[in-house]
Amino acid sequence: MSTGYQIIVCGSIVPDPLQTLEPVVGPGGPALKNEMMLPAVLDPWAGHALYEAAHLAKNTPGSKVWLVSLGPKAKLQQVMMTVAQKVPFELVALDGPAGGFTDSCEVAAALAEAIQAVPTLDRSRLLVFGGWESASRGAGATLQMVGERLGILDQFQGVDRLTVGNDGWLTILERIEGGKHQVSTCAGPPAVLGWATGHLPEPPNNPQVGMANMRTIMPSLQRAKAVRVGAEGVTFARVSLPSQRRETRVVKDRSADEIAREIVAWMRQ
Amino acid sequence: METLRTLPGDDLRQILWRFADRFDLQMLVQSARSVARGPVARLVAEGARNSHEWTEQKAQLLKAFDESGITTLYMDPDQGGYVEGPKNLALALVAFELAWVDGGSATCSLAGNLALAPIHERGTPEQRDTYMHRAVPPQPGEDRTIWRGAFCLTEPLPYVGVETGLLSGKVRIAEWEEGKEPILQVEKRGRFITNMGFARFVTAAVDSGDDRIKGSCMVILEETDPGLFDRGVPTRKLVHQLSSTRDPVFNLRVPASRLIGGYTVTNGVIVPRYSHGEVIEAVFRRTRVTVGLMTSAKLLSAVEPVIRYQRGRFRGGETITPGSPRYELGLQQKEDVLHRLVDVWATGEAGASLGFAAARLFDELDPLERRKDEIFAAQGIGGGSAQTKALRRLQKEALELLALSTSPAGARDENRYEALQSDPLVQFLVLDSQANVLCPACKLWNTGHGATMMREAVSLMGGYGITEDCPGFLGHKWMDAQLEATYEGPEAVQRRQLTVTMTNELFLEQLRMWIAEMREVGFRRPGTGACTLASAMEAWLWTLTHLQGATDADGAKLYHGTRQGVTFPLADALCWLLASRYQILDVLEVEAKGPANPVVAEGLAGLVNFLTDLCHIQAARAAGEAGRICAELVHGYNRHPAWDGEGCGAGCHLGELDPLDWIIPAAGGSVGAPSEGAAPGKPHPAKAGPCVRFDGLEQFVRLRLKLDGCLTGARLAKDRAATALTTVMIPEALDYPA
Amino acid sequence: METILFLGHTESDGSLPASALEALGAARTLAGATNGSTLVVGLVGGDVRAAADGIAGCGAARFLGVSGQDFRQSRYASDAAAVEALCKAAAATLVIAPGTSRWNRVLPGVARTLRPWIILLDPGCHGPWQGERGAAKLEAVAVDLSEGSMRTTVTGVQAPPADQQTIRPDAEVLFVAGAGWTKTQADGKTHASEAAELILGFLRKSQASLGGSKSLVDLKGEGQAVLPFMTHLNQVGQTGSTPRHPKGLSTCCHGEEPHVVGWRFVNERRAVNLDPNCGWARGKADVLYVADAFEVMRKVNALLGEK
Ligand SMILES: Cc1cc2nc3c(=O)[nH]c(=O)nc-3n(C[C@H](O)[C@H](O)[C@H](O)COP(=O)(O)OP(=O)(O)OC[C@H]3O[C@@H](n4cnc5c(N)ncnc54)[C@H](O)[C@@H]3O)c2cc1C
Ligand SMILES: Cc1cc2nc3c(=O)[nH]c(=O)nc-3n(C[C@H](O)[C@H](O)[C@H](O)COP(=O)(O)OP(=O)(O)OC[C@H]3O[C@@H](n4cnc5c(N)ncnc54)[C@H](O)[C@@H]3O)c2cc1C
Repeated sequence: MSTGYQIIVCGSIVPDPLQTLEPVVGPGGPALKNEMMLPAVLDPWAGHALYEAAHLAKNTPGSKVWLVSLGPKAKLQQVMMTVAQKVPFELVALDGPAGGFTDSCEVAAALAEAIQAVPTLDRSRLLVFGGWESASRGAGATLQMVGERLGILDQFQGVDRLTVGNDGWLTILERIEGGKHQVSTCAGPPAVLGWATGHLPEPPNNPQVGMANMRTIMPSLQRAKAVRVGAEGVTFARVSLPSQRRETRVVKDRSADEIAREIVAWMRQ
Repeated sequence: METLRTLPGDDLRQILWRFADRFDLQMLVQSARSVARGPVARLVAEGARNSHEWTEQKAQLLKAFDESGITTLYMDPDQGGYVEGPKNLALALVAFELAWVDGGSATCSLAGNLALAPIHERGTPEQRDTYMHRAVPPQPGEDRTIWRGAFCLTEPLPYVGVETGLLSGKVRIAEWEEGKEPILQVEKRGRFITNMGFARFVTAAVDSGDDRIKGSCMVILEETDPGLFDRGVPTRKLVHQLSSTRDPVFNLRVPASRLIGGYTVTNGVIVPRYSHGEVIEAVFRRTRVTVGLMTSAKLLSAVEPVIRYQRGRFRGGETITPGSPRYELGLQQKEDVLHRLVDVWATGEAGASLGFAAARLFDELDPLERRKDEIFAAQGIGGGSAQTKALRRLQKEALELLALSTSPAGARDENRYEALQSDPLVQFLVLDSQANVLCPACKLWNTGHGATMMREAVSLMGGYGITEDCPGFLGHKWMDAQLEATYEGPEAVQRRQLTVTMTNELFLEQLRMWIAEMREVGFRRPGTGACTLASAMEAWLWTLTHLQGATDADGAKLYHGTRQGVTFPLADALCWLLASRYQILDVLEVEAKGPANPVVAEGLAGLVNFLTDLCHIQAARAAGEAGRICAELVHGYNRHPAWDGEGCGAGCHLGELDPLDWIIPAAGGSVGAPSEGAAPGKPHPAKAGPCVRFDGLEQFVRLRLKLDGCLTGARLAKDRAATALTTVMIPEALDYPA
Repeated sequence: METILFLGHTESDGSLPASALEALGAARTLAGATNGSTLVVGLVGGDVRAAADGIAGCGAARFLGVSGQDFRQSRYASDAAAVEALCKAAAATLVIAPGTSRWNRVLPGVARTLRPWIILLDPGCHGPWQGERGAAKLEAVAVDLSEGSMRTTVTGVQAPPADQQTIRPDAEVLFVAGAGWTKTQADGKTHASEAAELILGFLRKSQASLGGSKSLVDLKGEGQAVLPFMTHLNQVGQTGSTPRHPKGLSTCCHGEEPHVVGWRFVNERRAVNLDPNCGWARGKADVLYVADAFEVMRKVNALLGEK
């Protein structure tokens, strides 16, 4: 029997948050202004999941990492030029919309189908990773539905750490309220883990890793299946940014003393 | 009309600069960018530039270069690298990304390659193996430290600077035992040597100080060689402080096997395979393009912070309410600041287009050059003048190939055409003649004019521009550009080279083809300014031919190596034209390939409109510069006629002259031979003398006049581009700290 | 004709968290506004009796409960089974539940199998239900857990010792520290340990909750000077938390958009930054003090010490 984990990371792309993200309502429903043209990045949470997956795979001989990603093909390709340099993985690309206005249920269906189609998939070794939410939709609902479709009942969200015991049991730390972590143990794969930040820094770019990954990434992008995902049955009534703009009073040229007194008075109001 | 929606992204740049199918390069760009906008930007923001010393803090850069693959980029896969084939475009892209944030960091990475370049280009296989391997960062499991190098040519005054022939560094024979490798004593003092703060080896240019060594050479020195390896004092640079520059002193004993390219012994004399001149020529012609691109990167990097500054200029004022034009547009309500930014942007685009075209050209040329050397070696033709002679014999064939390539298929001798086209030597000659112009043109124009435009960018930021707080480090970038114009051969060196290479008939023949090409582009895409450019090229070509034959008022030859006042400006004029041509060609590429990329296709119409307008603006500016320079040169060396001087002899007529009468007879209203001067008894009109006659220059005047007319529409393009700047979407914040 | 199921889970002490009372309030409001709708309460926990009695007066038509040792823990498989059973027992068409970590984990999966409308309500979106305790008529709903539902065991909770817990969701003030605290200061040096002292001193005296910018919490990964008590849990922003506090004070943080989106639910905002052009100046704070945070916080701590 082969050993090691089969780690499938579900992760898509989001617009670079430094861009001006302005919701607009177009003929196809709500969208972000010029979204297609804005640079995209790998969803930060999915990124953490990917780095954790690579780390686990590296320390568990025989393991392999896949990244299953649903997004506009051309944009996925662009993002891969960075992501592929971080850690070794094989890409499973699905060509479709990646924005915040698709229904997580439909997205989950497409992802689960793609996962099931991975050749050599072995449930007894399967760990499904992803972000506990995404920076585009932020609902935190996709992975659970992927898990349900795959019939995986051991699911964890807001994971910050995964350790594997000598007996193969998994110990998992999940974020809960009040800056605490819930600790669970699980009898091993299959399991779904929606990652929060994890504990690994972002790996530096390494074009050599990238060149190796590209051998499978480009073919995968070329044969990426077009999938239709939307938000059937959902009508978005209105989309707007939280109105944030305040009339800022800028206080300059005052002594630290005066400022401190003002702050303390304000705190005690 | 559709206009620019967002700032150009990677998808666009990949098409524009022709690496859309090069994933290795796309990854490299991302990798270099994350170093630039991460560790490099942090260093600058933390004030690391405020010291001349090479500090621990700055040394973090080297680690970042190693980790991100920037260090190994220069190597071939069998040497530990990962990019196959020529790497000129790859290196150019990295320098571009680094310089986008800080030029010194680009220099720092570049200088390591510069140290290796003599070995890479001219070293023996053993030298190449040894030093290229050592310069690869240790891989996991390897127990060694990396070797970094410095390139040492420049010497303390009065020796080598621009004039690379005047070497004071000397090599002598220290010991030469019968049947053994000679031991050399190398004495060299360097000035302004980059990477000297940490280099473990140095490639140094020295002259023979010994009868038993012939000529000059380059030699590899190592830190641990016996003798003096003194790193010297740090240069008190005002620029590029993220690179280490020092004035080192070497006096070392090294085996003769360190002579770059090896040597032979003839009649008891060591004959280095390559003179130092031959080595540095091979080196600089590649690395200089990269330097040129650094300045262009700065110009393009200025666009976003300037727009942000302009838009936000009045926000926060008590009476400025959101939604009001003053709040939303800020300074962008004013035409001038928009026009100036358009100029900065257009210059950046043109420089980048020229530079990347040159880098790609060298990628094409590299394998041909290797092939050429192989062929000559097989024929027993050595390096240096023997090769030059052999190549000169092929010049005719190369010209024939060009002629055949312009005649329509079918109407020409296809067999002959095929034969010439597949002849690597002929191919080499054609491309080489282009490269010999493009490289100095890029280094000269991109950095020189780029520095001037960088000043414009700084001034658009007002007082903020010259503070350390200016987002995008624009003030630093301005000063840095001046170094880019200086090191690796200052402007004079480039102009000198152009003086020679731009008169090569092979190049001129291609220029003629480009004139036709631009006319044709102008026909298909009138908005690009291509037709304007073609007219300017014609005027330039006419002027060159004229100057090559003409003399000044004193009968002295005009186009001559010593007459830099003639040759240099003409070289400058050519650079403007070349940059504009490549800018136009790039936009055509996007127009053709953009639709196939869904990301670019999305806003393509607006994007192409905007870039086309930039081309037009730049073409007009280039035509203006070229026209002005040509006119000065054509007329400026003639003596102005005086009322009483020679000029006013028989040819001096009565009456007020409209100079145009000589060209367009009816223009001034007087038909026939006009006359000028004073009626008998009346004083002369109050002016310098009778107006100049254009005898023999009619065609030039016609060309120049036509050129003026060709500017039609250029300012409309500028207005459109300016308007685009007021609506284009920019990110919320710069993606690197300030 | 909606059947609105309010879904709650108990805390370890058997009570309902505040966010559950808010969700209940919302469910009641909704039921009141929807003609002919029925409100049903569904509770999950080790023993839900006390919780049910606590909201006996909420006007629900039925009180359903899944109790037992297996439902004490916050575990996907058992929670999914319990919620599914409750939804079916209630014949719910709409589920309203508090957006707690426990429900966030499990309800999307249940939505996939049952497909009622499920709304998870973020804390702070609705006023809490307030009413008398009573004796609820609790109907126990039986759930058979399969073998496969027991592969996971919750073994406990990890939290920093109480005196080092810097995240206080109920605090009046959110204090945000940015990367500036670790940056080179005017004297050309960094002062991380003084920064740590000032920040911890302030937290002790003010009982504020501590947030951080991404740049600051990321420093640890990059091996730079760090504030040891800062973790990713403290991160506020797009890829961090979106805490709710009446007041927020930002220090040495630039106020970039991806950070400030995390301040959505902080009502009054003030910032101390050396840079008059920082993000806070651009409509993101009510007041920006252009000043050295080291100096200001030293004085603030002194004043707070006086009381
Ligand atoms: C930061 C920095 C880093 C450097 N790094 C290196 C390095 O790593 N290795 C290295 O070998 N060198 C290096 N250099 C040296 C650099 O290449 C020289 O400074 C440059 O070539 C100019 O030489 P120079 O300073 O002697 O100027 P000069 O030769 O004195 O030139 C002064 C002026 O006279 C003009 N001039 C000179 N000769 C002519 C001529 N024939 N015709 C017309 N005009 C002329 C020049 O254009 C210039 O305007 C570096 C310099 C700096 C400042
Ligand atoms: C995908 C993505 C997701 C992101 N998500 C988040 C997120 O969730 N949360 C987040 O915070 N960021 C996030 N960011 C990062 C964000 O863009 C900024 O980089 C980050 O918020 C900057 O942190 P900072 O303001 O602390 O640091 P800096 O930008 O380094 O600012 C430091 C500030 O300290 C000030 N300062 C220094 N010394 C003093 C002093 N003595 N007194 C007063 N002021 C001083 C300086 O003026 C400066 O303004 C995200 C970015 C990306 C790309």
